[in-house]
Amino acid sequence: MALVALIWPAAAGGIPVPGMGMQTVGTVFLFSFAMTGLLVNARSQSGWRVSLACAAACFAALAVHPLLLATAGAAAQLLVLPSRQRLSAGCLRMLLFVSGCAPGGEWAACIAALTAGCAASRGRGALALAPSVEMGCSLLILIRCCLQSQVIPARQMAFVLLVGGVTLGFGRALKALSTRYASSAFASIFAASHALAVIASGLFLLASAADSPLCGQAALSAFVLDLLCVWPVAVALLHIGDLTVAGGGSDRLNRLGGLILFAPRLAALFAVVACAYLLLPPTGGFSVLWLLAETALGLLPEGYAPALPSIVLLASLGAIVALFSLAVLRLVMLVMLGGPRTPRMAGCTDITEGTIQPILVCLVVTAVTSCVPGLIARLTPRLMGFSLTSNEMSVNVLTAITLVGPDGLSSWTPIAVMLMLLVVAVIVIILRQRARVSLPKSAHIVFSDVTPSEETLWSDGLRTRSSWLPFGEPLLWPGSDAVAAILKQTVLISSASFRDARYRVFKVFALAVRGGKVAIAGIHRIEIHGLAVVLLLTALALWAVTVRP
Amino acid sequence: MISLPFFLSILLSMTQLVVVVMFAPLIAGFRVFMSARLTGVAAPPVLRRWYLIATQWCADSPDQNSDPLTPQTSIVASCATTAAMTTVLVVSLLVPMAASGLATAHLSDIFVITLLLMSAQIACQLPALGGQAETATTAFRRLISASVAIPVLFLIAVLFFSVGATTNLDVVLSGLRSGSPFGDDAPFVLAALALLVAGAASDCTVSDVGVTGTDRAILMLAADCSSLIWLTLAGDLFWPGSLALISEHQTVTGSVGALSVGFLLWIVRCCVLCVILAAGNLVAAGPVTRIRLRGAGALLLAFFAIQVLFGSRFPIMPYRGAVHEQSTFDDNTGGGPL
Repeated sequence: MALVALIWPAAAGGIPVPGMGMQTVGTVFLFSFAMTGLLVNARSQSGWRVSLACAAACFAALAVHPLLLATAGAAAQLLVLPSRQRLSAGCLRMLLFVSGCAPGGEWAACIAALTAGCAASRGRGALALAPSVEMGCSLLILIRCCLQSQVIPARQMAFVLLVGGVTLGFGRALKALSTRYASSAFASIFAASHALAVIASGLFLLASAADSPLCGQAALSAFVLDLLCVWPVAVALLHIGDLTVAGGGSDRLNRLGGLILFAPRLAALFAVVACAYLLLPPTGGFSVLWLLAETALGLLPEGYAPALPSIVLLASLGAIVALFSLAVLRLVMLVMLGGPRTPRMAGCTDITEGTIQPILVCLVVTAVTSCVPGLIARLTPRLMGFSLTSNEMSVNVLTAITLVGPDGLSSWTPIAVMLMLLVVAVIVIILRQRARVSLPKSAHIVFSDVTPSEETLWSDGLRTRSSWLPFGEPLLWPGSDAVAAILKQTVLISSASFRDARYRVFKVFALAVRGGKVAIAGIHRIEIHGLAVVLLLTALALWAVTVRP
Repeated sequence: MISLPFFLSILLSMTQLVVVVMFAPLIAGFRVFMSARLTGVAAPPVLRRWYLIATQWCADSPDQNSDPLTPQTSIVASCATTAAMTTVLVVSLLVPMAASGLATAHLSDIFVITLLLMSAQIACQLPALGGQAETATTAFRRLISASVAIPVLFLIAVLFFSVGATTNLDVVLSGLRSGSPFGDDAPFVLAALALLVAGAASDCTVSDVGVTGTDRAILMLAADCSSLIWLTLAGDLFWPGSLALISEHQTVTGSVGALSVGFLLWIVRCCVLCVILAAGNLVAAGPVTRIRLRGAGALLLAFFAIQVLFGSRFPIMPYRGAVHEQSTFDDNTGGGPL
């Protein structure tokens, strides 16, 4: 139903319930919440609560009346609140959400969206998907406020949203890179899609304030693309993270590892979803990023000083992409690759067909949605409140192609790149297979036990001793602290540098004191000639005064 | 009927693909050679890299039962190899090397090209992440080293957009053909330096442990191609005038001659940049310092390029006080003689 409503909203017709309607914003969010609900296993512990929460969120997406929206959204957030722990933060965010729903609560909606980005994992099982419900509800009221831009101070709110979104992105990425818990890392990585949506809203407001409908449309397209193509993948990543933690038997990252050896199906799904979420081409995340960058470039003011905030924003976007990519790679390295670091991991069971099917359905539906010709090009103008004529529609359908599907961007670049990648990949695979089938033996072997390689010396290696360990090389593994230490060592100034700097300051100070003492002690040496020097200076002064006219 | 420029552009794209694969190990070998020569140690021959790749291509696959990690590494390696080589080959079709106006010219967006190269670099290091402690840590360090360049790419996109109102590489390079690298195009020389520091200077070495056989040969080739494309991008920005124009020549002979000169200049450009990189590596002290220096240096250069661009290309508006004073002065003088 969500898919039909999204693609063809007129088919659903009017909803007979008072206070509800089939608006375009609602259909976009209905799709996202429906995808979340699809992944919930209702039979599991607390699964019914999250299912009900998703249903309430779907009602909130369709609600037109503020009271109904607040009630349904608050109910959704209430249902995913944990039973005992961390209630206060969740309740506070829920209150902010309710106040944001009220007429005139635009700033509250803005703050609610920013604070919802800090939502952490709520627990195991279905509750692991709780952040998606909470962040989705906050984004729903935020975009509704943004679309009524005539009543709010757009420029100030855009500034708050952009700064907040970038800070949120940095904070969650650093958290994902430094945390020791898998659930926390997955939840932090999920927040990347939320941060991108907040930045897109900020750019939309900025474009509205600058009276630039084209840039506004691009920013809104990025927002819609984020919700339709990236959000379901991110929710699937959350779900896979929960399955990994359940399979591995521990939430600690340094007790997992080697998932590909014991649960190949789960590992394959994890790899596919991680690749789709990497924000690098050719994925939907890259399309969102590209649209955001083009919007920011389109809004670049003239002159260096006025353009500096936009330039910093673009550099920050790049830094966020880099940090989130590293966070995803760190998770892949610690969870999926390598060997098991605890015996419990060796007992990890693979997921069943029943568990795989919802995830596959979610991924396939997302891929199909992103490939519907001109969907974003039709949805975005409708979101902005004006409808296209048939001529404009045909132009949009022809020119709007994204990397993951034909939406959002202004050229055929993405689909062409995808096709080229597919063709070249097929050629590379065929070449590799043929090379494996007909391998000629190496004619020239210098040392039989040494393979020449890139890191050995150029005379085909001078290794004098092979490994002598009786059971092979030890499967030592860099823990999560090693990654954090590498980052800290690379990006930040290490404590050793601080220690050295402090030592240098003390040294200079001590030398200065010592030099002063030596100078004072050496004054008696010049006091003999001091009188002569004073007399000479006096004579010079007199000469200067008297002789000079 | 297919027109001559279109046919030539298709032919050029295919030639580019072959030339990149053929020359990438040679250029990588030349870079290693120059680095060794400049540091004063015995230098390996330039063809050494090709020899390594050919040896690995012909080597047997490892025994699947020798190590528990071997099957896992081989699965990851085969996926990563395909991804890395495919990505690099697609990028080599998008970047203008010897001539502008390729068949894929309208697809060569700077975001797509550079981030695809980043994806290829990540894919090259992916098998090593599944290795043992030392290998995995080194690979992750290389990934961090590659990812510090991503913010720089966004700044270079700002530079492109400010000049040509587009991020298309071919359009921007066509606009720069007539400019002087010491005049109006000075910001792009700085941007090329930033690209060189950010992308081409990154360590693309494929780790020894884990991958062997054909996969390893393809990974080494992909790493070399990636490095060569970074060099080509930087060279394009340094000297856009060296790119031939296919549409300028009406005859086949003229076009082929121009393309040959373009390829020759491309090789010269790459060799000069290799020497610059090898000399630059001597300055940096250690691996951590090098990463930090690269990140900070590239960011500063890109910012400086934008600043120079705003200073040189766009007119500086006089501040309001000066305008007021000037108008007051004009009013007082009345435009007549004093």
